[in-house]
Amino acid sequence: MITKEEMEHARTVLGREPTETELGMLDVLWSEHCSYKSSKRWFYLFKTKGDRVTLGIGEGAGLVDIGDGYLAGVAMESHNHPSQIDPFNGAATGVGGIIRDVISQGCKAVGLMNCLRFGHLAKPHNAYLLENVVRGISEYGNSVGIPVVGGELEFDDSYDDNCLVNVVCIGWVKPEEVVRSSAKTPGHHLVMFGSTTGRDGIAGVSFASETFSDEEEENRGAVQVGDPLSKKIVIDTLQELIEEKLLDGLQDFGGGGMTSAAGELARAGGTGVEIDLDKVPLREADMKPSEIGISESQERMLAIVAPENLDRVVLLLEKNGTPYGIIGKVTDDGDYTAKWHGEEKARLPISLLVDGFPVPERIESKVPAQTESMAWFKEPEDYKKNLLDMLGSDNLCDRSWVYSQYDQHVQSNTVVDLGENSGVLEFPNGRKLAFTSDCNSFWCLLDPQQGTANSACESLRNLVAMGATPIFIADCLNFGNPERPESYGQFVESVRGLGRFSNDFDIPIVGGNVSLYNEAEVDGETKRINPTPQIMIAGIFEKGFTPVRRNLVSPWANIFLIGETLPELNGSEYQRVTTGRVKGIPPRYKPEPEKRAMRVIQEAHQKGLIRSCNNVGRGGIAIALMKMALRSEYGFKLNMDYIPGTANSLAQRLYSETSGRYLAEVTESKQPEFLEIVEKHGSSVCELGLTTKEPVADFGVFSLTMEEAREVFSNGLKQYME
Amino acid sequence: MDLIHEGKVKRVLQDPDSSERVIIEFTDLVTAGDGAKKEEFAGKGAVACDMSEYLFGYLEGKGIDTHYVKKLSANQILCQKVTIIPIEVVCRNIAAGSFCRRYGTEKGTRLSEPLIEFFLKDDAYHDPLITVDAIIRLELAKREDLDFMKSIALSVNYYLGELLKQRNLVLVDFKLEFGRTEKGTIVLADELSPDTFRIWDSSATSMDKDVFREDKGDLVATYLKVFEEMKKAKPQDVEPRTESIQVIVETKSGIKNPPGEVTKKALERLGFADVKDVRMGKVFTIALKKPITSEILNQLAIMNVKLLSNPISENHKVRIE
Amino acid sequence: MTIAVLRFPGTNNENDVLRALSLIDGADPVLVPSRKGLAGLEEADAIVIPGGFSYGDYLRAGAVASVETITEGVRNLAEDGKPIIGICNGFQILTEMGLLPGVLLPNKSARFICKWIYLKVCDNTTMFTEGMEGRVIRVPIAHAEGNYYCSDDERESLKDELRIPFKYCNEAGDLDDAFNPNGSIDNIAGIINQKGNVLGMMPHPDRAYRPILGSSDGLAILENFVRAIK
Repeated sequence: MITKEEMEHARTVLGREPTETELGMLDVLWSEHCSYKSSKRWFYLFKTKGDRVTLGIGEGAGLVDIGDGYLAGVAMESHNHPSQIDPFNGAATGVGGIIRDVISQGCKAVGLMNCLRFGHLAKPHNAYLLENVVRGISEYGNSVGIPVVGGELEFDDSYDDNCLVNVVCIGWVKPEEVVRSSAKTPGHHLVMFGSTTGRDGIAGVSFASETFSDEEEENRGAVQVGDPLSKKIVIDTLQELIEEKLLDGLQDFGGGGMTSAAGELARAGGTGVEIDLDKVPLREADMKPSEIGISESQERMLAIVAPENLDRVVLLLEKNGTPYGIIGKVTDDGDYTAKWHGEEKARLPISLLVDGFPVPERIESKVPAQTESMAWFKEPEDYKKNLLDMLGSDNLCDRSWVYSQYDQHVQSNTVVDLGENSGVLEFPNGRKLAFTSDCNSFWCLLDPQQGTANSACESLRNLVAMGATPIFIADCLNFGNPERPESYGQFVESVRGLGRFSNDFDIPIVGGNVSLYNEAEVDGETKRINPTPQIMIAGIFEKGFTPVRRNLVSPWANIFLIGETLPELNGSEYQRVTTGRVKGIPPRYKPEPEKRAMRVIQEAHQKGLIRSCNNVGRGGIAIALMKMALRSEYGFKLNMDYIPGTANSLAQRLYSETSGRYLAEVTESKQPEFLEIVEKHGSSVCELGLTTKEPVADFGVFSLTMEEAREVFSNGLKQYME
Repeated sequence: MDLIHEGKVKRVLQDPDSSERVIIEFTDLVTAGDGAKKEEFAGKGAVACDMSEYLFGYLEGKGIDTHYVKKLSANQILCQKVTIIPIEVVCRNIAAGSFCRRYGTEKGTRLSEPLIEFFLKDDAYHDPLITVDAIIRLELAKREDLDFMKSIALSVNYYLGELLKQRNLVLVDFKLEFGRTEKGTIVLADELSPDTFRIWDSSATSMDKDVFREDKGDLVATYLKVFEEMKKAKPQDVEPRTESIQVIVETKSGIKNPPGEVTKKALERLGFADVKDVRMGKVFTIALKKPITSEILNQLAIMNVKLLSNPISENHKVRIE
Repeated sequence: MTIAVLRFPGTNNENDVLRALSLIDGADPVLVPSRKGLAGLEEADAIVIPGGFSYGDYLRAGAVASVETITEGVRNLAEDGKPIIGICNGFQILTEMGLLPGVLLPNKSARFICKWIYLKVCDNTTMFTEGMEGRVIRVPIAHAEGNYYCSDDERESLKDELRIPFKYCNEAGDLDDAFNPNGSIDNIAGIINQKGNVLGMMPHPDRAYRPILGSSDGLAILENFVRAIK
């Protein structure tokens, strides 16, 4: 909803009262979701430039040069509020929207990722949300024909009333085929195509910029309904239009509908637009002009077409049977003018509409400090039972119930499926890229800055473990109400953390999204989500390198632990599972040890010394090791008596979540060379044990069979969902 | 010409030129009270014939199949030969006549929605009211035939009602009869005249056979007057009415229906424990551009098997709104 | 040897098929949008109907595509004995057309399933499995309606006439319910017509044609297909 201050400002700049249509447009473009008015001011903290960055934050997708004639494209978005109300359609249209962002840059969409968060599944409503969000993503993505190559799923009470659905789309494009989102030349035509316009999602973005109250049901009108068949037809049509170089500019209709699409094109081009709303192909005949301008009907694109190309464009659109309209033209007057049967309904300066909102004051309050205290910590009485509980707990267990519903192989570029540390796609130039996304919201709750930086490290380790070198980041920052100092404080601290990481590791952030207002009034109290900065990192492999997986592949190989282990169990899964809550200072972000460990693994991979590799993160060494064995034919036998670092009990060693650590399977013959590399980079290492032919996980003091482990691991989610 | 049937006020004759046609002759007789009251008025047959010609033509123009072919003379029309379905279909918008007598409803009470009633065409039993289920049990007609007839009656109600509305006249109620052609299609038959419907003007004055039933006026003059009014109305201004058909597609029993099974488990998880089995099907709601005809139903039958359902694993049924 | 690779609105595996076929000597795959109608198949010596969600699967998988005019051309080529493969949605379209018996119902889990599975190739020789008799191959599936069903009579015919080239199994080739991902009767993953020139299969040989993707076992099927084109 437009604030009083904003209203005043609009009146002053215009010198008059805004019309009904104009008010609708301002409401939508000045919403948090579209304008980033609370968050933009902090983005200077990010590293956004780099040698490879062709197009950074700002347009539909970030474009990164991966060499050999190709750019990788990435876009990341949230669709949280709609998914809470209508999980199937909310999630489906989230996927639809992110695909549009990537194809509007001229890219072919080749991969999807989705990062989901819900309350615990024991509550039926959360199971309902998970089921339908997954179905929505599955039906949409599978139908359009884009494989899912990564994602994350996390559970916590704080998401009960505000589930999170963050989606990523990856694409590729040749540099000469990139289409920009700007309208540069007055006189060019505005052509919209893809689908008809109805009342879907009217004021959806303004809805996303509010918290939930008890009147949830009424919000249903704001949800959009996706149509993957139309989307596939748009993709095919676009391919033809781009191949023939018929487009001068392209933007997709996303949040804010036509107002946002046309407005941003004009802003980028320094021009204006004049739109005849009556030329828009409608699904519902009786729509008002004010509704048409802000409708969020899905599967629509806006193209800038030079007059000499118009006929050919129309021919192709008709051939593909896609609804379209020649709705206006680019002007040189710097205004957004909307007409209805010749009558002017709105005329706003682009500078006012797109960026001209008064910057609201936001107050950052200090995040409450935590203690180092480990008073809560106890060794488990029954180590085996404890490990089985951990394996079956919802944040560690098997997610194949979810991802087996996603088509992972369509387009046959998928080199590594889901279920590994990262998904890997092969690009047409033969280069392979890995994609992973992580966020430990518990670390972030306890210390947003450290937690964010460390979450990014976990993503980094996932890529490095496979043998990839990280090359770009996209992020989706999910936080509470920025008008509340505590929420805002969490947000700013998190941005500081991500900024530090991007600069420390020299990886540019090329795309992303901010989703605020993720909180709800529950029984008179404010319930806010954990700070959830979802970080996606992409990595590239050396030519000819085969990605290294995490399943143990040979018997009698050494299992090495690289990195030091400190007693950092505050904020860990062990703390959460055994005590029911998290508190204390979470594992610290340590860029130098992290880099040392990274270099060890990178060089070892280069020399082909590692047969399987995993990063140590959530759940510590115990879980990381179990995951290496669960999908392999082997087991392991360990001696956990001595490992580098100050963790001093078995449980501390097993479950500490200290950063900067990896597990590597190295065969006997490669050991000496491997140890040399470790020493060279100044990292710590120890030999934890050996892989065994027998499928038993032997930790020394206790052991369990892989069969027992598999049973619990694979049942973790299924028990709630079948 | 051979007489096929002698009715109370009309005669049906065999058309000498075609075995598939008949000639309906309108006499000047009027009857009421189940034949108790009977009189002859000069010109009555001609005006009833004129109105039937006009109204059948009008309804045909709106897409409703009737038996009417053309007018032959002042009191004769040529029609398709049909086997009359022995069910009279009555449509009421306002309570009048036997409805009031049956239930004690005050005459003139507007019903919340048009009401369709079926009466058995049988003089010996005084054309009693009959329920849909009884018709089916007595094998006088099938359910889909009755649905179809009902749908046509509602269509006629709309088109006739809208036409009269233009002249500030109210269609109170009317009776239709249907016949089956040789090919088996069902068409609107009999006549359309103030003998078979009730029309009131804006002050609820009868402009139909009630003037005879209740000795309220000059029958022929009234009929001519209401016809004059009717002819001033513009048929082209009556907007087409969207009619709807539903096709319900269900999985055959004996074939696994996983979506139904999963739904059943989900219901049980939510506490709905008494469910034995759930089958999930589909409903297609098809809005048509014109009234439902037998031709449309035939085409739909083909589409049901060719596209809307897969006969290997699915059954389908048609429901007319 | 022109191979028409059909594309209906919503088909999304056309590129997988084109890429796989382009690796095979002698194959000349051509993308044919369905709107071209019969004219699109004039030059065709063989046809592949790829997987995807033709017409969104909105009515019933493959139903709307099966009544497009181009399918008359498919029927003609089938009658002429030309090799035809329907993969996944293509299999669904062939059954809806009646070119292959039976119907593909929703998976028994009522969910989409994507995973790598094993298929036991039949012992008898068919146009598409020559040289592969009795082998166990690894290919991926990705479908929501792969649950094959047909009448008892058809089932008997398929068995007696040896028209089931592929059945779901485990790595060792054992046939059991436990290895049936979608509930198909008799673990049927693919069938052929009586003439032996039309194959419908739910698994994707077009996604298992290079080792880097996880398996190249699918290539042999496509190679047999190309070899059979005259």
